[in-house]
Amino acid sequence: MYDYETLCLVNPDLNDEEIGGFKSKIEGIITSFKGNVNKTEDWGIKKLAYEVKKKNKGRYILFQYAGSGTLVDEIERNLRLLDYSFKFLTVKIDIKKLQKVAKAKEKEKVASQPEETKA
Amino acid sequence: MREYNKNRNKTEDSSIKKRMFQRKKTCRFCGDKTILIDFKEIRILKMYVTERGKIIPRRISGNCALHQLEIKRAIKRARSMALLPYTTTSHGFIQTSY
Repeated sequence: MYDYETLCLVNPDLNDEEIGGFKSKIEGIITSFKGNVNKTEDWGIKKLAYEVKKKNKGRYILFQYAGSGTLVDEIERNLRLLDYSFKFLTVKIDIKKLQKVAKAKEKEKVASQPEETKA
Repeated sequence: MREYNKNRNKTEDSSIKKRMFQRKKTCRFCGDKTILIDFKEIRILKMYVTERGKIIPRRISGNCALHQLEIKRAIKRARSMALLPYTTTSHGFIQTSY
């Protein structure tokens, strides 16, 4: 069981219902393969750096989950079949490192706050 | 090198130092370990890319080999996901706000 992250670029012209359906579909695949969904982020519609499928804007959706390699293959297979998913990228992540960095950032914030109050 | 320079005059020392190296650049990521290099964090990656979208070489950016490799990988991933451009055309430029 490793932690993965999939970023999907999706058609910006979709309704809220269709996007909700897309998210629940992929979360369903993750749970059916006995994986855990850590988080789902929707970045909304953003301007793209170059044209994709003759469109200048796209919608980004991020899934962070824990699972096996077969789960990743299944998710990517489904993303390739869908018409409205343009691009996707799956990356293996190290959650412990992310947590360490988050803790270190919090410590820095806490350390800087009393200095501000003194000044 | 320092012992060799002690015996010489000060003016010669300064000229030799200028020729040897201007200044030492340290790797920003080795100094501050809270900065994560990720293909999703475009605001950090944009600092290592020229106006036309090309990757800045290591001898100019001052990164160590490991972090330059990580930045290169992150930039290439971001390019494939349309977060950064491959090249900018005459009307295009790197967006400062998304």
